[in-house]
Amino acid sequence: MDFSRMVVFSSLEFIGVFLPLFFLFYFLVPDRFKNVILLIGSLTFYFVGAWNNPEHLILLLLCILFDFAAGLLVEKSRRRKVYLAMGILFHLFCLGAFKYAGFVVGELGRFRPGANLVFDLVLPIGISFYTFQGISYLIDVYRGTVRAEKSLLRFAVYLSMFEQLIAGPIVVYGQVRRELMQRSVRARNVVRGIGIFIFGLGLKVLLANPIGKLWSQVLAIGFESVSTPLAWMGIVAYSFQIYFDFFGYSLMAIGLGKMLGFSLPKNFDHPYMSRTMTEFWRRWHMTLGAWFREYVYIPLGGNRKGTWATVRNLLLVWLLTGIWHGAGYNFILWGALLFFIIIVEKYITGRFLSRTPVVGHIYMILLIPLSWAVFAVEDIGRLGILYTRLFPFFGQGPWSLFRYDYLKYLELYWPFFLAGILLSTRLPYALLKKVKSAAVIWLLLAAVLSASVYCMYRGFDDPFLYFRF
Amino acid sequence: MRKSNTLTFLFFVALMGAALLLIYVRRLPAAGFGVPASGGFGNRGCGAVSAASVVWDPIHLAGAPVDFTVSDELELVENFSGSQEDGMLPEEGAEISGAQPEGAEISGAQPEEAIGAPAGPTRDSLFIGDSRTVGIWEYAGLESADFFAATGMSVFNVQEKPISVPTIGKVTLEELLSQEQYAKIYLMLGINELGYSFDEILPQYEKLVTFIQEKQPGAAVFIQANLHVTRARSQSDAYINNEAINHLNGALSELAAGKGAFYLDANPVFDDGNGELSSEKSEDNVHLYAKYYVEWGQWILQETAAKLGEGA
Repeated sequence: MDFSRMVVFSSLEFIGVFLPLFFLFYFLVPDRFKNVILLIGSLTFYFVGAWNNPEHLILLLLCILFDFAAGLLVEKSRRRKVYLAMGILFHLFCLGAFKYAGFVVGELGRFRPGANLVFDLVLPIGISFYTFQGISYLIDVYRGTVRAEKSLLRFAVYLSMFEQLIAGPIVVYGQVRRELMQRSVRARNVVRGIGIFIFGLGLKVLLANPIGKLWSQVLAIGFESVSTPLAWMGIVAYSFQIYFDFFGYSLMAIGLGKMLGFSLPKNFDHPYMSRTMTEFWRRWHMTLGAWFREYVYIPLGGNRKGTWATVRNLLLVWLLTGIWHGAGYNFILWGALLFFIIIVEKYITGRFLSRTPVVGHIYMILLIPLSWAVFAVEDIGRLGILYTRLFPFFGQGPWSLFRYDYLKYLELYWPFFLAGILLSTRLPYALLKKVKSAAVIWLLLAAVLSASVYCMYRGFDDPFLYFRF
Repeated sequence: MRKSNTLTFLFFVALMGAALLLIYVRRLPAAGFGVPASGGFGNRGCGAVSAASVVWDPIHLAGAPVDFTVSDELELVENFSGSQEDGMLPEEGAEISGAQPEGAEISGAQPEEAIGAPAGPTRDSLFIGDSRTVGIWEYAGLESADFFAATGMSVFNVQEKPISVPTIGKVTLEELLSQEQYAKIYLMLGINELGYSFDEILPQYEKLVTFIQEKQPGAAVFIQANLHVTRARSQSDAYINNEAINHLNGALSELAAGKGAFYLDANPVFDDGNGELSSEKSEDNVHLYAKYYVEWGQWILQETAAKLGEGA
């Protein structure tokens, strides 16, 4: 077993080792020690996950200490603005140094050949998420919407809780303040939490992972050699992969939260059923959208300062959203594309699209995979090739050397496409809610769990599965 | 309150100490803390050559070089094939292959030579191989060739797996070789076998070549070298690396010489300067981009003509 995989919820190391051990202690100790156990558990989780880069644990601990102290100062001190600015700058500096410096330095190096600038840091796990939580806390304290936390223990638990440390949801302090002080672990919630966790696990392991293979195959074939239908299948597969992977992960976090006694905010609300891109981003990664609205867009004036200021604010928010997702030109391009689409919707097409569901859905069904393609392909030149295959109006025409490539892959992947389409609608969730019999639900979940564990086991047992590549 | 803060703080300090100690220990030259790339699992029974893949994961959201990729694929080399998987059960395959309807008919209605000369070759060429041969099948455009290839194919299972051969039907290798006579037979296997010891691979390879030559006495047999993997793969894999591939290829070239077969090595065509598969020609570090299969196919035709010319 490779324990540094433990930070991945869909790993046998997490489900088979960390989860049972942790909850054994967590449930056994009286309520007043639950925070202690949760902190020890979370930091152990991070320590093991960052085993190859122990300095990342130190960075996390420093961030906790720094935010805790800064929170108290922002509340009490007369120079609260200065402390707030320092706090935010500290976080942005850490994020910038670890996430963007490598890219920026590398790109600058291009202009000075021979300088050979290399600045390659491994990204600390979860830094994009805990940085945003830290910043939101400081701003909330500054605004007075929450009191600064007086207990280092509770604050440390807030920032480091293992279930949301790695991939969100981005929880703001006010949402969990009361539960940090006092929460009771109820059997009912624990059982529901387990159910939600298993459901999320199933989405990730049984749907996102397999359908993602189709995208890998399209990459391996090379964009220039796929037929137009296969190119579309590839980006649709990627769209399903990214959704069910992230949605599943968020559900697992929410489920774990319930088991711990927290109610974490929902992160996805059937985004693929949206009729406009604007609506999509209210339903996709909702905690991130809310963060940018609350801590960037509104402080800049939102839409209250006239058209030009609104456009400027939106541009900033979407470019930031783009680069938050990664350091690369394609993420900037992706953010700019979203900005453009959303502006057009805001001033021109939005109303029509929302009022005409058929057109709105068709529009989004095309736009979702097309925009994810920009997100997925880091090299802009290759992105261009992919687009010429998606829209084969010039050059080689729609087919590839391997004439019926799309039939081959359709035959292999159709069940996953079908499941992806169904699970993107509200239907299966509505049906699940209608099932009154707990026995039926648990039978279903048991099937999902055993199938997932089997797949994880196969993955683990496979010597070709690599951790680092 | 204050006490709990102090205790938490001390806990933090202790953890930082532990982390610093870990950093220090890792810097020590002899400390063997590094986790070997592939743990210690043998790769027996695992059919396919795999490949790295850019798989999205929530953690990837956080950005560029994340230090772990979660869901790298199980048997990725479904890459260029996979539909044959259903034939993996021998019973099932036997049944289906018994009921091959049109396949036989069509193959009967083949080139002119087939009509009057029962002993002569009925078909031009046959490629036997793993996923890389599947790639040639799909993308090289070698219209006159037949392919008996599937992802995960190895010398250990090539005689068991039934394969759907276009215009012939679902057949085992033995059935195919009994049914048709080929002028040229190309064999490229070995990369999936690399988890086994060479003492097991080579005798099995030799048996296979003998079997083919007995079944097809008139065919020219070409043993193809296994294509290298990229440096990234080679360095991170305890089994599938270029050292092992070169070792195997060396043995295969000797085998070819001993058996009166031809040996073809396409590696110089696709290698970078260091004798490794050029990373610009592969996404997954194992398979060529589809466009290079055309080049590969043409190269095979040229080499074949040259070798057969020499022989004659």
